[in-house]
Amino acid sequence: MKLRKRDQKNNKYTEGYVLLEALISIIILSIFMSSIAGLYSSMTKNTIKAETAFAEYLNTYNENIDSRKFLFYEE
Amino acid sequence: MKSKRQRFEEGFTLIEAVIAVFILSLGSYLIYLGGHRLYKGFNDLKDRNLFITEAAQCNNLLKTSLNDIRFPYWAPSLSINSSVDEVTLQYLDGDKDSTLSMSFTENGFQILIDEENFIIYKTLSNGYIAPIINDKTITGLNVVFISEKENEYECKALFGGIPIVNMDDYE
Repeated sequence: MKLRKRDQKNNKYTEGYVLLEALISIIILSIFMSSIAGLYSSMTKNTIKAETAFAEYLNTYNENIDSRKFLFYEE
Repeated sequence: MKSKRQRFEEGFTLIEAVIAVFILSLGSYLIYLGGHRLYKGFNDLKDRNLFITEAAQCNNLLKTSLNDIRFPYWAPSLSINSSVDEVTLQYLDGDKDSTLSMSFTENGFQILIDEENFIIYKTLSNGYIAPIINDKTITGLNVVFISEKENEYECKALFGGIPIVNMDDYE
């Protein structure tokens, strides 16, 4: 594929390759988007971890309470 | 035939401009959709984290507060239905006039100590309070918090002291 060169003028902003610039900007955008996706997934993992840990802690504690025996009367 | 330079200097036709605007608006809409979903996702995560934090804090406070409830042996047995929204307990620190109230309100779960000090957990607005019953006597409370995803977190806590004599038998 041939890179299309911009119209040559004596202006440095109009020089260069269009396709190359588009590709570079797409790559930069993809890196940015993937970093946000990574951040989001790590936050989700941490939240699920915290929820599971709390539920497990409550389960263990509740089992302990349920298994406790009370002596209301003197035998 | 027009040269390349001439073609660039002529500008865009109406169809080209319309197509460009259409592509731009489509791109903007996609960016809006993605951004909205991301914002909603982050907000959801924030709410879930806040719920867990408040539930853990409330769990600790419940255990400490209920441990301060000490019924003397002459006190009648508590009567609490299987699941209620509001409970008021007497005998905080063994004093009959001191009370501990807890209730699920629209603003969240509210714990009121002695009608002066209170704390509200805003995210814990959904749930119920049930008694823990051992040998026909209520020995503690089970406060159940329900999250937005319908997950139930049971926070069980026992009273510091329970009646040794069952008043029904005593009478």
